[in-house]
Amino acid sequence: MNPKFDIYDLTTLAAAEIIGSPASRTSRERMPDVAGEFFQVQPAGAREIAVRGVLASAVKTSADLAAADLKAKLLAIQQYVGVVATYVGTDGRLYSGSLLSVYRQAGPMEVSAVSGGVQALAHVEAVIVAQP
Amino acid sequence: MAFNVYHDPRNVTIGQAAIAGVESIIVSVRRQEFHAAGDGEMHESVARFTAGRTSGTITLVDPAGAAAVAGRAGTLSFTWKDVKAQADKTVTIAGASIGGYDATVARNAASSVTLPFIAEAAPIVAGQ
Repeated sequence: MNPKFDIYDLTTLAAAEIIGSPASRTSRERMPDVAGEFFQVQPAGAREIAVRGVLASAVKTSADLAAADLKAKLLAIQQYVGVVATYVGTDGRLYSGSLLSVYRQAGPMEVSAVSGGVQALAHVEAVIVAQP
Repeated sequence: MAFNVYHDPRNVTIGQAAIAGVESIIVSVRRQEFHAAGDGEMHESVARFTAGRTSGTITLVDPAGAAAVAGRAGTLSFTWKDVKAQADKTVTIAGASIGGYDATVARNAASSVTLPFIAEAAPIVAGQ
């Protein structure tokens, strides 16, 4: 399924995630004449989730219109960079209190003929900073 | 089922310059590919052809004539002759550029030259 940030689909097609590790938060201390270290383990920090996929325009009557539609979609989603909301992964898992850290086009926009007109496509990638 | 067969490319021009002694013309149109697969997909769910690319090669017998048109740019045009005496076809390729050439002049064989070209438009094949 397409991952969502709040109510917005981050991709249209071929969504994939790479789930990062929660950051460990530990105070470490060394004592003279004592081998090893003391660890004071804190609750885990955030994890990063890298999302990639394809963003597609609506089917339009010309390549220019399709490209413009795709750019409008991309820019609309980018307005939520820096916003905290619920992220829904490709498996439907909910990550509440997540930050949309990055949302960008990851390659050239390309147009292709489809049934009924022309559609623009672009690879996109996002970085979600989620709670552990 | 009706079909057409063509031969003998004629009236070959690039811009305003005629290219004589042409034996064959290869026209290639290839489209770029766009692929993507998502989580849990056993096969790519996005596989599309996108922008096209036109290129080709003109083979002729005259090395001097080839040298004269190497580096020229403009609309490349030629005619395909219908083998069955039906309507010939005119092929027009706008925005064409001819690169260098490969000339073969042998001791006991007719000379042969190839002229590669690329173009910024798809070929248009029209009836006459």
